[in-house]
This record gives sequence, C-alpha cells and structure tokens, in this order.
Amino acid sequence: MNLSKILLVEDDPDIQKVVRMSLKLRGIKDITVVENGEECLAVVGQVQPDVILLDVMMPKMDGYETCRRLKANPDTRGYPIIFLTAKAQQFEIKRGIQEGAIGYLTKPFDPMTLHEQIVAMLKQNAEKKP
Amino acid sequence: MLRSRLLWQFVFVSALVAVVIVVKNLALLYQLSLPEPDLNEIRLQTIILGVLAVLAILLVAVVHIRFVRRNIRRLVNGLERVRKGEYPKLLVEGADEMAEVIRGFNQMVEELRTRDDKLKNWAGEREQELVKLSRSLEEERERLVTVLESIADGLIVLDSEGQVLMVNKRVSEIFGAPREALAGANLSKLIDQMHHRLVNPESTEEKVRELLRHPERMDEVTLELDQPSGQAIRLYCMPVRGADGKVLGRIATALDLGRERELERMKAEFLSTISHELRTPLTSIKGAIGLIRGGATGALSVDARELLDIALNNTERLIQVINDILDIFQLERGQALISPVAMSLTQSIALATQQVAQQAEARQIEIETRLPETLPTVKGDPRRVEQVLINLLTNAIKFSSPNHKVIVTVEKQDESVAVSVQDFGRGMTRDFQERLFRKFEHERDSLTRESQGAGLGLAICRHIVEAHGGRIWVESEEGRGSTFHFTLPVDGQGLPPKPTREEPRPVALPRQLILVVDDDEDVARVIAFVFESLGHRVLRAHNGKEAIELARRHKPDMITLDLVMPDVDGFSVLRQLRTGPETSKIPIICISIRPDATSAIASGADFYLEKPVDIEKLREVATQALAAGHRG
Repeated sequence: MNLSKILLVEDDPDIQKVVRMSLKLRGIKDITVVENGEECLAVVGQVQPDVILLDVMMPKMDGYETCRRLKANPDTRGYPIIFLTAKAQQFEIKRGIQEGAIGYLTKPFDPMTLHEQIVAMLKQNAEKKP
Repeated sequence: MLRSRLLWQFVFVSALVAVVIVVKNLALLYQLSLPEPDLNEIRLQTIILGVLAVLAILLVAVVHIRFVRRNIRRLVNGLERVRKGEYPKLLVEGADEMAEVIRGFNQMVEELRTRDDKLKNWAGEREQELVKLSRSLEEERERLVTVLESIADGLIVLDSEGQVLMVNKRVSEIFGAPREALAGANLSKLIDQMHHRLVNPESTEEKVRELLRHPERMDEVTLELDQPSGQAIRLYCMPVRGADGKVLGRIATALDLGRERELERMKAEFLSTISHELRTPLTSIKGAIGLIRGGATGALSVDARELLDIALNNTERLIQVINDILDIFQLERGQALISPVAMSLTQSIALATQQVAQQAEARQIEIETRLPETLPTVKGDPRRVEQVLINLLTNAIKFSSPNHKVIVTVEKQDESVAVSVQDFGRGMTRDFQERLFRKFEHERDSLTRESQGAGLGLAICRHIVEAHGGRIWVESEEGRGSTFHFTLPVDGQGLPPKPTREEPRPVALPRQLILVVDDDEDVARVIAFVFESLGHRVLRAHNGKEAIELARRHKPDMITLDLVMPDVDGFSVLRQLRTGPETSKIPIICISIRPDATSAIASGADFYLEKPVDIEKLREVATQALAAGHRG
C-alpha cells in the first residue's frame, strides 16, 4: 500500500494548514488542496491521489455529493475517499460510509496520529478487497 | 243571654225540673180528693206548665243545634280555605267547647302560616343558593370548555365501549372531520374511515382494536398518515375509573406529531450546525497546539509543554461536552447506533481501566477489579459498554479522596451480569441520588458546584444501559462513598465475542510464559490481565534492568516491551535482548506512545503496537507471535 499523494478537499484555510503540516511531518509532501467538491472533481483525474480527504460542508458542492459523483464515474470510482469532517453524528457518519467512503474521520482530529489513522483505513480497505 | 252557656244550662235544667214537678203534681192530683172543678183547673194549669216546660226544652235544643251547626259550617269553610292555601281566622262565639275548637283551629292556622312563612323563606334562600351554584357551575363548565378547546392537543372522551362522548376542537382539526361527525362515533370506526390515509392500515387498525379491547390499560397508538403531508397522530389512552375502581371509560389525547417532528428536526439541525461550527475552529486549535506540542516546530521548554498540555486538555474537555450533547440527543431519540453482540465484560473492564489509569494515578487512586472465576458473555455493544465503564470510573476517581481505592466488582445474576463501581468518597445526598441520572444534573447549583462538566455523563450511561435492556442505579451514603451498579443481559446463546478478523483464536494456544515490561504499573497490569485471561502465566518488569534480568533468568515465550521508560531506554533493552544468547530468539512486541514502528522493527522487534493499546489487536499480535514461536 502506497501513500504519497493526497488530495485534500477542505474550504477552511486553517484546517488546510494543520492537515498539510501534520502529513508533512510524516514525510508526505505531495498534498493537493482544493476548496470544494467542484474543484475536486475537476482535478482528481490529474492528481491521481492515493487517497482523497473530503470535507462535507463546503461551498458550491458538499462532500456527500462529491463522493457520490466520484463513485458514479468509472474513471474516479477507484480513488479511496476518507471523510474528514465536523459532521460527527452517527447518522452523518453512516451516510458518509453509505456514499462509498472507506473511512470517516471526525474533526477535531489529532494531528499527530492523522497519518496513522489514514494508513490504518487504507490498510483495512486493502484487506477487504479480494 | 242565650249565647251564655250557663244561662242555657240554667234554662234547660229549670225546664227539666218544671217537667218533673208537673208529672209529680199530676200524680199527686189523682191521689187527692179535691172537687172535680178544682181538680180540673189545677190539672189544666199543671199540664200547661208542663207543655211550656217541654217547649222551653225543645227551644233550647233547637237553638243549640243551630249554633253548633253554624260553627261546624264555619270550620268546614275554614278548612276549605286552608286547603286552597289561605290562612282564615274564624269568628269565635261564646265560650263553650265549640268556641274552644274554633279558637284551636285559628291557632293551628296561625301556626301553619308561621311555618309556611318560614318554609317559604328557607325555600327562597335555597333557591338563591341554587341559582348561585348553578351560575358558578356554568362558569366552571365554560372555563373547562375554554381550557379543553384551548389545549394544543386533541382530547377525546370515550365510554368503556370505545364510543366517543366528547371531543375538543383540536381533534376535529387533527382528524380533518367536523366535530359532529366525531361525537357519538366509535373510535374503531373512525380509524377504519381513515383506512386510505394510513401508511400501515391493517396493523394500525388491529392495534386500535386491541386498545379498545382493554379499556383498563394505558396504551398508545401512532397513526402514520402518508398523504398529503406525511402527518402522524399519536393517541395516548388512559382509563377513567370510578370511586370503586371500575373503568367508566377512557380519555385519549391526540397529538399531532407533525409539529413535534418539525421541532425535533429543527433541534437536530441546530445541534448539527452548532456542533459543526464549534468543531471547525476546534480542529484548527487542537491541530495547531497538537503539532507544536508534538515537536513539529522544534524543541519546547518544559513550561511551554505544560502550557500546551493545559490548552490541549481543555480543548478535549470542550470536545467532550459537544460529543456528550450530541450523544444524549441521539440516545434520547433512539437514533444512536447500538449494535449488541456477544461480548466479554472482562475485556471491556480492562480497556476502561486502562483509559482512566492516568487520571487514577494523578489522584493516587488504586483501581481494584474483582471478577468471578467464570463469567458468561453478555449481550452488549462493546464500545458503548466501555463508555459506561469509563464514565463511572472517571466519576469514582473524581469524587474519591486521594490514596483510596475504587473497586470494580462483577457478579453473575440470574439472567444478567451486574457490574458495580464503588468509591469511598464523600457520597451524595438522597435528593441528588434521585435526580443524578437526569440531564444537566449536578449536586450543587450551577454557581457553587465543585465538579466540572455538563452533567450529561450519567444520563448517557442510563440511556445506554437501558437501550441494552439493563438497569442502572446508585447506592450512596454521605461521607462514606457511592456504589454505581448496572446490569447487562447474559448473551442468550452464550456465544463467544464475534471475531473481528479471520485470525486463529488465541484460546487455542497452550499455556505459556509472557514477560510484560512497562514502567506504568496500570498499563502493565492491563496487559498482564489480557494474557492471564487467555490462560498464560505472566511476569512483570517495571524497568529495563529488571526486564533483562527476568528475561535471562526465565526465558519467556514472549516479551511485550515498552520503548519509553525512565532508566534504560526501551531500544537499548531491545538491542541487549537481541544480542544476548538466551534471549535473542524470544518474540518481542514493542509498545510505545511514540510512532516508532520503523525504528523498533529495525532494532529487532517482531511486532509493534502504539499506545493506547488496542486490546483486540494486542491479542491478535500476541497470538501470531506465540504461534510463530522463537525466531529460527
């Protein structure tokens, strides 16, 4: 399992910085940041990330809709998606997983273990695949 | 003269005496030898006198009879007038018995008048009272009707047969039918008429019939209507009993759930929004502080670390409050996902104890666990059960005096397992014991209370335990401490906990010797506890030197090694173990608070786990390590 390229879809500039720094500390330097779902759909084919970290509440297109569109498109269906959101109620988490995400991380997250959590989710997802 | 009783008597007696004398004289005349003419004259005079006396007697008799008759007629007239409601006063003539009778009659009539007057007065007063009472009853009735009509919920009064006796205006609005059509109808028929509007008509109608079959029960039924608004009506039925306890009928309140659901939706939306808006800045705060505290910006002074820890701890507290508010809201609505499986309480207790170990240590509290030798699996959601245990343990630690114990006891009961968490703190008042499982409750008021937090923890515990079909309660005595108890149902089929991954079951391994190395006594105890519960023997070492010594002497089948220890660094211990001939092949699991996996494996560890240790993961890794045996 390779984790070197991340696409972060997040509209809050402070959180963008925290995620960037947190992942850079673990040696991940290739982090593309976009601010909403529309931008994500526009760049995902170009970036070809190992994982997409997706916020839910964003302008123009929310995270659930973005996830649904990514999963509906055969070209983008394969990108693993992890929601990284302040939507922390159980039905919201359930909805995120139902939309096709491999994991759901709630904000506030621990910046020192963010990388490990992403890796664990990717690993678990890889184990599930036949 | 004649009216005088004595005079009449005198005349009557005189006449009578005269008649006697006449008769006697006539008799004497026959005996006397008087010349015939004289005799005839005397005889004639005597007879005349006698006749006059008889006439006088007759006259007296006639006059008297007429007098009596007149008085009797008067009395009859008087009585007739009395019968008509008059109060006549009759003329009293003379002083004889008749006069006495009439006087008595007059007196009686007078008394009758007095009594009638009194009666009339009394009746008048009663009538006035009755009018007043009737007016007040009418006012009361109007007030009651106004109240009933103003109630936001529908109100239906039914007789014992389910016939509608009365409805208020709201019922008519909720059911969308005129009041006249509802009153007098049968509830069952009313629901049948709504058949086409009901989402589940058959089951709803059956439920209504069932409800009507048992008027003595308190019951409820929800009518889900699909068109056009997705409206729902909930009927709560209560029996109405007479003084003898007999069911006279029932009162049903009809609640339009539309408004309630709308309010719930608004509440959910508000909570979701507020939670999101609080979490977003907290993410930046926690993230920024966490990165600095984690060394992302370079080395920190001790003071800076301490201050950042304060900031981080308080951020966590704030996050916990937000989480608790969301949690209680979801639990109350029955929306929280609780997935009960067959689970081991022993494991949950070990995990919970590990979670609170740091707090306990900070307050110098020892947590003692008393478990029976065998314990059946219970049916529960492990994450939620652990949440309850952590909550109870945190409270017990918080309210214990330093250097005291907190005792966790588990006992098997008939169909359940009871867990109790006992502290020897200050205890609580009876009043607080009654309300502490409610939301936002603190023992003192909000201005003087000593404990922190939103007061949601125990309310959450209650909801979780009750959602599992268990019970939670407290026993407490002021100054002596408190014991919180809760029960969980024993798993019906006695299933072992569901394996989360397809790894070999650890219980299949033979009994082996494991060395647990950790400077934190509580962590060492929890890890040892996990292995002992699998049937292994455990040695414990609390520093590097002790670890190397015990490993060389006992040659254990496996070692778990904490990498961050005060005296000898864990990496140094690892290298020494790997270079020593007796210990070089022992499988070693390194455990660290730091993400040191790569370095640990490079230094000779077989496996690596990060703290806080996931017990399930530890069991899996240990199973693999023990199954692999000593390094070839």
